[in-house]
Amino acid sequence: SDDNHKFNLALESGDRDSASGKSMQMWADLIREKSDGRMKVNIFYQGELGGQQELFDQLVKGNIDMMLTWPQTSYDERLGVNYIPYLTLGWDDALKAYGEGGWLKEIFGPLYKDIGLKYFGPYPEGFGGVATKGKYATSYDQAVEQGLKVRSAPVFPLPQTVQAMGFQAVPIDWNEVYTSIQTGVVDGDSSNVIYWDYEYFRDQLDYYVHTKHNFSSYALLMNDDTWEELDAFDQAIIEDAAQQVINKQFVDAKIEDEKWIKKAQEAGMQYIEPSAEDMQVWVKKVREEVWPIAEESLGKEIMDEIRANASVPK
Amino acid sequence: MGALLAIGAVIVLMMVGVPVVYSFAAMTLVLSIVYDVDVSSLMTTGFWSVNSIILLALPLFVMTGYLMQAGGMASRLVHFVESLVGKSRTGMGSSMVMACGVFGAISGTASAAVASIGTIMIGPMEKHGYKREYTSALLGISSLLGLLIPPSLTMILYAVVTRQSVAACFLATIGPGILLIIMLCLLNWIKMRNAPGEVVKMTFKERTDLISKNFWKAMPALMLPVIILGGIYGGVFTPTEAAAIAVVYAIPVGLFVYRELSFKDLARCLVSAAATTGVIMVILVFSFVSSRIFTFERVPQELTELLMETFQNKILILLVVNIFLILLGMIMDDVSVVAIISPLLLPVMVNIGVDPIQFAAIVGTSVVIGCNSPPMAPILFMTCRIGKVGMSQVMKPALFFMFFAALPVMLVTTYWPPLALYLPKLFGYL
Amino acid sequence: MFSLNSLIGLIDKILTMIVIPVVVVLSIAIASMLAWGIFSRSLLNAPVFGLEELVLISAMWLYMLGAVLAAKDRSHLTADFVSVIFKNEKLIAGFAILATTISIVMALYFVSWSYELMAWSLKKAQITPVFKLPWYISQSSLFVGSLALVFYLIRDFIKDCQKFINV
Ligand code: NA
Ligand code: NA
Repeated sequence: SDDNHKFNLALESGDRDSASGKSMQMWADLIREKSDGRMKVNIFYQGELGGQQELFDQLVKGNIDMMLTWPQTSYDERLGVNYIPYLTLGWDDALKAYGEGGWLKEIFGPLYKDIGLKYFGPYPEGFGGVATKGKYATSYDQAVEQGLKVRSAPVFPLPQTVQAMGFQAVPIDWNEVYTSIQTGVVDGDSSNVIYWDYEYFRDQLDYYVHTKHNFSSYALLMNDDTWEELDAFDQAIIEDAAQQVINKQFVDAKIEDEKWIKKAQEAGMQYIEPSAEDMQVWVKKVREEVWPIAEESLGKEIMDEIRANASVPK
Repeated sequence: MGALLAIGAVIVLMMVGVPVVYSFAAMTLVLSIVYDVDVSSLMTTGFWSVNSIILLALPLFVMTGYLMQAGGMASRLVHFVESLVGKSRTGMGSSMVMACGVFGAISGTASAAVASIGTIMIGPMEKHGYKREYTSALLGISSLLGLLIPPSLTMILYAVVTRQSVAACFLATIGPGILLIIMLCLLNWIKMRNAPGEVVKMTFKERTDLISKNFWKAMPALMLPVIILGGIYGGVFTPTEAAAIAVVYAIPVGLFVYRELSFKDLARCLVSAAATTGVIMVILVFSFVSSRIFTFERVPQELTELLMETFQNKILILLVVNIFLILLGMIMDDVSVVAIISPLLLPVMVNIGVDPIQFAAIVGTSVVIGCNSPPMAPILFMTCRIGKVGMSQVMKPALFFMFFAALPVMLVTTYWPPLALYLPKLFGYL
Repeated sequence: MFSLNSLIGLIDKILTMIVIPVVVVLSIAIASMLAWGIFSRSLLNAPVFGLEELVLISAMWLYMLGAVLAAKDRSHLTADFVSVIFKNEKLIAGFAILATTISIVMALYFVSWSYELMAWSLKKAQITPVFKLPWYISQSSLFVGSLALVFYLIRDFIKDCQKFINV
């Protein structure tokens, strides 16, 4: 192939120096090298080209070619699979489910294809937790007792999950979270890996309870029309490069998460892991309350798949 | 090149008399042709950019402005400040400045202050030896305190387009706002201390009685800034929510406490507010789309490199940016300057080590000048109308206040960072 | 010309009759929904999810209908260069026609761009996360609003021409 291509790649979150920023640079570099400079990727970082809904629309329309993003459920609610709580309970399970040939990956590909996107795979960050200021909860009862209010992204079923865990989920725009914690509108943030709470709110937050209710992963995507216009040779270059980035991230994410836990501790944030018993109560409660609601939007077929494959609490 | 062509098109069209909103639509059109942008992307960007909870504070604060005007809050505030500062000859001018400041703590715009304070004060001040053109010019600058003392539409807009914290931007302009109050009162004292005209003399007792009487009358209105600012910085709600509370508070106060607002007035206020915001929002749609194309084509980076290579010196670049803002302020309205220019210049500022929050204050102080400098001088036009004086008469005193008050405030804000950054630091935003 | 003027007057009347009550209701609805959200969150300890979906849909319509009202009153922000520089009435009226013509062209572009947005949202039927409301409810506001803008510009164009003939 000797066609020249120029692609625009957007990150929904993460700047040039973030882990995801560097990973996208790696993807871009690999594509350029392997195509001998025929294919160039122009990267735009967090917020440069707008918010997540705008970017996702532009990706589906083909005005942006590639993107690293949280799955948006506005086109197809079934993409909410990504946010189903307590699907996997530890890194090993997560690797098996999301990795190459994993059961979750098999579910995602066709769903994205339906809305006009090519899915290369997940870009995992790790397990989410609940970060708070002043007080914290390691169990359902504690959360209810303390009346903890935490910010939750309005993505189904994250708020429902946090509620089922005993917290009050408050919807707040990411840009307003800092002020809201500072002024006490909420007590903290939920469902993020520690990196975000450390990087953005470390001077506000005192505790990070690793509830692990969600496995936070982005999706590596490309507009399907743009993809189909490429010949097989160029497609292989892009796909192989994406696979390298993803494989590397599966190794790095866990190390990265541990690194930020340590950094947060050094900065004075208390990192807390709930006891096995408390976790069991949470897992049971959340699965009982949230999964049936999830079935309404995901459909029985996908939920059956999930029930058959989800990790069993020890 | 495409960027120059587009901005040139805007200026030419505005000169011909095309409304700002369609001049901006033309900018979007030129950019989309020059850079071969897919038309399906344009309104996707336009829609998602204004579909923002943070930006929603803007229409709500505009509503508050109209409601305090029609609902009797404005006049109570003015009378309270008047009795506080006194009816001495120089005191009248200072009252006007301070009233604008107090007004600013409720309203997000300058126009509400011009309309209500102008109507109440310009006539009486004439009796005390103030020339109408002088008072109108003073009001033109003072009313812009509405943008410097939070809440402020300009700062909300700046925060949205540059992705900064609204609460922090609000704090950044308080210092410059207070400085402007001091400068204006000082200039007024210099100008008016020997002027002829009758002076009201009051005994101490008469004075304190008047103050306390007017204070209680103004009480429900004075609660509003406490609710808004106390609410935001005391952690009860976000700026948008504060704006909503202000509206929900102002309606019953006007209807049932001051009883100056009829249901018909209420409807008229809401309709006027919607029209004012509607104009701004459609301008914003095109500003955001054009801005996005600039970003896509890496125009801000090119501009940064160009400025850095040409001037290579922080002071010099700041001076260029100051002049640039003043010139643009002459030909463009405040919304356009903030929405189009701040995202273009912010990378330059960050590059030379100016904090984005300080730049918010710099832009804010430049708007004070821009709104009063013709040909595009919406606030000065308005004060002329309210003060019943001609543009040519008002120009001399207006230039006096701009040159000796507004410009120095802008320069101090630019070259002495603590003026803007002290409060945001104190409140932990930096 | 008379019948055209009366037709325009009729459309204007109908538009105003619809737009003004809607604008009043939307304004009050937005403020009260937000206030209710704060009340519910801080006093009842029950944050309302999805409120911002309803608020933003109302806001988009409020913005566009507000712009229509401004167009009706011809109160769009305009720089006043021409009448400052020139004193010849005929020339000033000529510039007004030119400005309105350019505005009409731009407004028509706005209509076509907004149509793109609406057509897409009708085709894809995207929904909001909480209440699952289709996005075309708010995305169609731009198209509807821009159409009304064109209508008022055509009215202005006719007025400008009449003025040009009469001065
Ligand atoms: Na203000
Ligand atoms: Na100006």
